[in-house]
Amino acid sequence: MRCLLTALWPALALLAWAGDAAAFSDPTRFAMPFRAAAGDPNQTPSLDEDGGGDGRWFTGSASDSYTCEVCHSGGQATDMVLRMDPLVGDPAGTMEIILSWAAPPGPPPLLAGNFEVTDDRGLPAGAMRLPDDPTPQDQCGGFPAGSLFEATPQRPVLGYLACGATRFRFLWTPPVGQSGPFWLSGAMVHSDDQTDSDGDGVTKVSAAILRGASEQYEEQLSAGCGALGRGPTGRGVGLPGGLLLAWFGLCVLRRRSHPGRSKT
Amino acid sequence: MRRSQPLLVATLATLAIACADAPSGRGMPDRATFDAVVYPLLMRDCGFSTCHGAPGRFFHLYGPGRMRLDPTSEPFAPPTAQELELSFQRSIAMLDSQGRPEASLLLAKPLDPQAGGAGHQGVDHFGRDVYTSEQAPAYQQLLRWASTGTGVLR
Repeated sequence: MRCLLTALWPALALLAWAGDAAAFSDPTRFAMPFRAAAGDPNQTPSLDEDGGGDGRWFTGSASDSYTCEVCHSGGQATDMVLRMDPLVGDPAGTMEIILSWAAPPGPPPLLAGNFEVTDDRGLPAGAMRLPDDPTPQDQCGGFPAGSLFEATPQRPVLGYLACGATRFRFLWTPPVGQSGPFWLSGAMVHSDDQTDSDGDGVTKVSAAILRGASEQYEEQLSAGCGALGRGPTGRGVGLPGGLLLAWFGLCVLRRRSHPGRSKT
Repeated sequence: MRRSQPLLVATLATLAIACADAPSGRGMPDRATFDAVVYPLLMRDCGFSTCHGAPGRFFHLYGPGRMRLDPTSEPFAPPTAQELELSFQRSIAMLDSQGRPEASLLLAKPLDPQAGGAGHQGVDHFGRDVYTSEQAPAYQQLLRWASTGTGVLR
């Protein structure tokens, strides 16, 4: 019994005090190692260096196939329209790709996401770039809404930063000598502006890009649902819940003198 | 109430395993290797807040950039001793496999069934498990670490 009680209280205390998960508000955080000093015992990590994505950008591509849904959940995602339009007369077959959403009344939605184009194996394919002729729709206060990152060597990822724009527009040129198919993968998080991953919605993007397409392609993207079940807040049970659980757990324990092993 | 049930199950599972012998009674996997190698891998591949960062799961992990054990922790501050200890304890509890680390929940669940694993709910949207092959470098590192506690060194 002493063993049971010894194990019970730490478990309950941990459940009661479980905290929030941080959101990656800085796009470069995805590339940062999880442990800044893991590879170098002489390096002392600063308070702001740990906890990176360790090279995972959660685009949902074949090589990085879990999406933002593994962290962000519990909120309303934004319905979007994906449009892919071949540039007329471009011999390289460049496509203009636009992800757009309706501007709701009130403040603009806080959206952020990562996108990449790969082949079937998940290897980077072609070249993405931001347009040279941004319109006010593509910008936030005169600055581009998107940024191109070299996630890992030879792996470009386009990031969209929340800023009030109503669309995300970029260009993609297919690789020479490859016929495809190619895949645009990514996800857009609609944040509730609480700096954590709870209460956020995710709109997933996974669309084939056909080389040599001559017509515009358009697809409605509805809100994605969570990959794994979770409650609306995703937080711990809180102190009152922990105390209630402690009481209930003790009641159960009084009836169980020889608990069996559990394999969950 | 719906949220309480998994928490209760997790608590009772903790009790059961805490009172059992160490995995197969063959000693504990190396703690220093866990902290330096295994913990970062588990946090990278498993410790997301809707997955094994969720407090309702029996196997849960805490640390920077993911779920923090103490909500007052700085989001990206290094893991605390308590977070490391809890993550270690939950990990070794997943190793109880009668001396066959590859059969343990920690190794079998993230391995795709087509590669001999047990599979689990957390597949990607292609239906693949976390590690699609036993040759995946992260799987190999987990296996090496797990083997140090079973006497089956690799």
